[in-house]
Amino acid sequence: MSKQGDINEKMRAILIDWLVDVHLKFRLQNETLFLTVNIIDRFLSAYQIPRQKLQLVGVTAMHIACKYEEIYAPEVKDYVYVTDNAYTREEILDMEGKIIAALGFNMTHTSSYRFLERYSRVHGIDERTYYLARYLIELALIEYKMIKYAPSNIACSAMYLACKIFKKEAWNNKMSRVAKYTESQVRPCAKDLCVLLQHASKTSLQAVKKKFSYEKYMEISKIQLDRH
Amino acid sequence: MKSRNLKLKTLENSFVQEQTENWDEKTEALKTRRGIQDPSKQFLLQSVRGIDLGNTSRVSETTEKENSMIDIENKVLFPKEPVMEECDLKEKDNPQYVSEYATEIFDYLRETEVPTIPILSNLLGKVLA
Repeated sequence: MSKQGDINEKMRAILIDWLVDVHLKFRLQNETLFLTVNIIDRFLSAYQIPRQKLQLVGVTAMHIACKYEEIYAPEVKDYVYVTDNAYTREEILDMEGKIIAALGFNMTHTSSYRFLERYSRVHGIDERTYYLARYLIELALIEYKMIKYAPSNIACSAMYLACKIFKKEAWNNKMSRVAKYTESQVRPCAKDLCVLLQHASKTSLQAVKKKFSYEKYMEISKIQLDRH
Repeated sequence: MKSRNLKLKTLENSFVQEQTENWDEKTEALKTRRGIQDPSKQFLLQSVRGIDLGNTSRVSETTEKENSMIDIENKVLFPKEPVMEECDLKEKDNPQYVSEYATEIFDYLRETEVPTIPILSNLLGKVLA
């Protein structure tokens, strides 16, 4: 186990922001994006890699995630194309072997997206609140500090914050029972998400904001927040 | 010769009879083991498994022994009564949704999410420290 010397959180954020764009371009399943980011993080926490190879790790993680989640996964040549021929087909396949070996063939990961699907169903939130919560969990993907929270906690907090923003009932006994969190356990993560939401328009990484400004997502990233 | 034939015939008959008796005993034993030797138990078993055959009049015939059998069956087949949320009840008839297991599945996912959370201290540790 070693800490990364060559990569910092800004580089990770740029990579994931770019992957959100690629994910949108390839029209992949939502779950694939979350699995991709998880594979990248788990691999980076196990192996030290130079910054020149970071994008290679990114596309290869997406390649693995697609094989796991998608029905029609993109081909390796598509990944070579999106990286503008920065890496060869052989390099991607070689990295694929390394990543899979590093993760011990354990690809299964329950993402915050999967938990959000469940919690939103149990809580019975409307579509607009759901998309805001979706926007929040994708903003959390990019932010390095959010890794410390469990995916279930992020999902819960995103829904909690979305309900608060739209002035709906944010928490009740049913949610405590289903999510197995108390309101006080959800609040710290919700606060961090709120900060992310407030800074979303100020950062240079705009892929998620742009994605959620489309009509398909009810232009949820365009909402104006009340200052209180 | 005639007497020998008769002897053989009786021997054969007795063998067949013995076999049939054995067979009956075996089936009876098997049925008892599976708790379905009489129709009332059969009904109970089916109702426990959620299959209704329309023999509702048999319910009153349950004895203590039969109830204990249900308990044993319950332990084997259904560890506990599944807790269903309101939203799952709406999908009760949708077999693809497996709503009766939804709570259990997500309890399991909550337990298993921990090993796949990346170790923060190992990841880009230098920057955040």
